[in-house]
Amino acid sequence: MYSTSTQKREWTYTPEKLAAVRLETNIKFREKYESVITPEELELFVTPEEELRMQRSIEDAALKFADKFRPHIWPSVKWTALAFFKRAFLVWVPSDTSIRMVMMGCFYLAMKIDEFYITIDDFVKNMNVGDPRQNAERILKLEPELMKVLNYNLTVHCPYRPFEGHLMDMKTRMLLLNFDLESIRRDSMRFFQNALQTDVLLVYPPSQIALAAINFGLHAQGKSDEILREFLRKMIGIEEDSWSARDVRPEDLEKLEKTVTRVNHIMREVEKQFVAVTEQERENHKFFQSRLSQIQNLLPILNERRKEAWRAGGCIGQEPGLVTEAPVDSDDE
Amino acid sequence: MRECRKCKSNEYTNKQLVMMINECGHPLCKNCVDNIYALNSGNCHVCNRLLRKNGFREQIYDDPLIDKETFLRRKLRKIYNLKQDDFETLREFGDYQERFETLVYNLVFETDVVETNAEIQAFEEKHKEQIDRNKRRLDEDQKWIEDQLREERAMKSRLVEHMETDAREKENTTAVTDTRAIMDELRDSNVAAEVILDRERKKQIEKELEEKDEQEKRKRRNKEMLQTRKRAAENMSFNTVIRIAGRAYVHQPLELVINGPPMPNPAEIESMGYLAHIRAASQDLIAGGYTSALGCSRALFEARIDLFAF
Repeated sequence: MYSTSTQKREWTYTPEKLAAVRLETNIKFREKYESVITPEELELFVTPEEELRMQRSIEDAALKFADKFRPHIWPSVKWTALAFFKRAFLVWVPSDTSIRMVMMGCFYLAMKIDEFYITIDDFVKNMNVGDPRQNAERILKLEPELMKVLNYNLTVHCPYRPFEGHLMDMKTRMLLLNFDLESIRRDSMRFFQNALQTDVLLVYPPSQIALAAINFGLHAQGKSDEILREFLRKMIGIEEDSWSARDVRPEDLEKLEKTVTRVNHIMREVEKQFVAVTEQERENHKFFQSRLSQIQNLLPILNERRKEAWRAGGCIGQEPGLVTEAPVDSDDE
Repeated sequence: MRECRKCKSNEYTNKQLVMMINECGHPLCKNCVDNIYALNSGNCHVCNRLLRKNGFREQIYDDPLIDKETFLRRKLRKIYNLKQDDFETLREFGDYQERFETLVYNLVFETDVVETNAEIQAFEEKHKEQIDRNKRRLDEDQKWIEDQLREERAMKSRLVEHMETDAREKENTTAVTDTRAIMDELRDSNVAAEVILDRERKKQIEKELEEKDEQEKRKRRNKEMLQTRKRAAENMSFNTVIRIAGRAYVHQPLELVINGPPMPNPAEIESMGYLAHIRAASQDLIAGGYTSALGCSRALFEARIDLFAF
């Protein structure tokens, strides 16, 4: 149930909060090295916006990977994996990790969570970069770290089932439509695919995203908002007759209007945030990758410098780079 | 555990069990005594001795033998109350005490009762004068006990007195300094005298109120303590009866907050034709407990949950 889920409690933000969290993560990462870095090196560090662009292009590549994946995966695996990915990079920064590998780890974890059974060997067969054995090793090593950063909140509520629910409701209640509702499915799925490359799944409940997909499909068929309104009226139980409409509770009407506004807002949001990754972007991506590898090469040096500074400062406090191990309840012991 | 041998009632079945005992030393519960000796006399249910109802006393010690002995001792003490200075030598006094023990033993275990009683009677007649005199005299031990008690009482009263005087002195000193301070202030400061006096009066009133409060609190606390103790005593029960306490449980169906349009109930899902739009469940799915209505309601539920979360 979404309303009591960790997804709602821990991983749903307002757009402003989301931007703030990303900025904070970025700043924290910079601050770590601020004392030992030279200005030229600082140039290499990326801004939150650049990080987001990087994430988007990786997401784009990941969706292509998912569509080519054999055996065919079901869509909710994609959704779950990208949700993990987006959540993870609210805590991590791309400069600190191998962003591609994290994405693969997310997919592997999502397949487990979504009960799409596959062995790690079959999984790495689908990857066309790198040595399969090494890939498998890295993914398996990444998996527990990923779960930890996700705070073990592994259930993701996808909008696909709500979408089916809405569609079923529509077919049942809207008997006077003069077209086949199934025809919107293709466009709605396109909408979901686009939505995966935006932040909507960190902001809105899945039932609303699903309704937005329905509306997107209807618009693509050249229909207006009126069908959506009619549908919502029937769901809420508002009579169309203007005479009895007087008896309708005003909050019902308000809900109707708010839902329509929200649905249109989500559609606009997806349209705005989704930018098809162009050839130019791919070029950029390569550039980013090289920049990232530069930073990643730099990090060990910086860490070494921090340690030196720490030693020079008289070994006060904790040694930088050391991870404090929280006690873990384990059945192994 | 105390138990009446006659009616088999015991402390667990009867909270107010009172055991009675007569001179023969066979205990009976009060109810049985009331029943059997309704005519004021009857035979003992164990040894068949003729007993009178007014001979029954409450049993103090659990062991009837000990109870009997203490009772007899007390009775005999009234006759054998000679003190040490009634005898010429210590040896004679020792012999007298030893004889007394023998008599008690005889009576308790009922050996040679007739002779023993005769001896007691003879002794009583022979020493009538001394016995009467000694009734009002105290022996050394009793005197010592009395002394101790008196001393303790005196000590207590001294302590109370001391504490009282202490408290009074303290009060006096504070009052005196207070008045002195006030007088100084009245003389030296430019503030109007009424203001100062008013302030002081207010202070005093506040203090009194505080004291009153404190006292009331103490009283209330004591009362509460008493009440809780009383309640606990009342609630203690050895009966098997189950006490009915607190309000009865009333079931209230749980409310599922959907925050969306209302869900159609299972009957509606079937009658409204939802099932036409979902894949029919195959034979083996049905065998596994799945119905298409189940899948349908799950999809519908997820489509509704938090749809109106803005």
